[in-house]
Amino acid sequence: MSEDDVVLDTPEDDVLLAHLRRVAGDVDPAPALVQEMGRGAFLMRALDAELAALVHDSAEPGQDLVGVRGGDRVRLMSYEVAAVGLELQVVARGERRSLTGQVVGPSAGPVLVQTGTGEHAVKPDETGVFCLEDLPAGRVRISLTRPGGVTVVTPWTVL
Amino acid sequence: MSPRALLATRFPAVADWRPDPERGPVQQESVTALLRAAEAGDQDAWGGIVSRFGDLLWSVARAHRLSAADAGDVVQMTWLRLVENLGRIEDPERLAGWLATTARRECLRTLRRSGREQLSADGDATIDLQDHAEPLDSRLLSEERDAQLWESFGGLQPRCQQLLRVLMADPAPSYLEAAAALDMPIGSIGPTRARCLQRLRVLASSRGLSLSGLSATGPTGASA
Repeated sequence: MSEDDVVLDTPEDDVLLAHLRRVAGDVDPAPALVQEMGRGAFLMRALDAELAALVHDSAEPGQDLVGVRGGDRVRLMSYEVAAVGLELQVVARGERRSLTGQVVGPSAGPVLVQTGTGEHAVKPDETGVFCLEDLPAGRVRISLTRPGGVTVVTPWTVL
Repeated sequence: MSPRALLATRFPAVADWRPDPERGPVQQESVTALLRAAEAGDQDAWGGIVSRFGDLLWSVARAHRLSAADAGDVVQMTWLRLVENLGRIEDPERLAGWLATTARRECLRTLRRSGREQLSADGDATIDLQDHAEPLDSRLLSEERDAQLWESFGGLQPRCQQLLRVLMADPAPSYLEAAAALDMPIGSIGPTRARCLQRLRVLASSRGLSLSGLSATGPTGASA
């Protein structure tokens, strides 16, 4: 804290803010369900997984909009870690999302797509392409297994 | 020694650990110990982190005028970000600032998705802070004075409401955390706070509300 803070934070202000804090605690506390879900977030830990980096996202500011196709919004994302890449195309129609992904580089076994409400295992074809239709809008993360058993997981991303 | 046992030597009551608003700034050692224990797999330590900072994250989301549903999603995304970065937090003393920054970014993403973030002429993102969250129901407040005070708060300029709402987090955030939550220079937090509280006094006074009788403990009682 700077010296200014000491000068400017009068006892009267501290008392008023403490009172406001109590009022906010009455009228707008963090809901118990939100806190409970936060405790449960620990169970989503992907131990021993390599976290892929989101290296491109057309929804971030400054990116060229991929835009609209027949009323659907299209978003492109790229994730990378070590020798593995994951390209993702997300088509949004209302509150539903369709994913087309391609695993670039060696992987083995199914791709696991986790959402806020469940998970789906999909098997990529011989070119690494997989599709998943009709997901609910919301957060998603994708994990895949590299040959040798190392799991790669993307960060959670809201689609 | 197991992480749990290690934690218990320092915090015998870690399972029952609750933030104590009267204790002032949280002891950094405890945040570091909780984070390190959570990294080692201790779920109770994780619960301690959620209890300690959950209201800060909620306050950051509400300060960005998100609806309760969107605010809940932002808080959860922030916790998931911390979970996926456990073991990568290099400076545990700054965990609260890391969380506040992460929550702010998630708020901005949410606002962007809903089309409420606008780009100003110089390319900086600005946020439409007006009139999106549902009005909070001040009738929940038992005391007429508090209801009036909350309504006066709602009459402040959006920027003032935003800063004060973050500072209302329980336990009280540091200015460093507030600056991280709002992407403000830390040196402007104190002066802005003073100016906004003064405006609040003027607004309250124009409603015939006297704030002179407030005490440090207050009649509203301790928060949960």
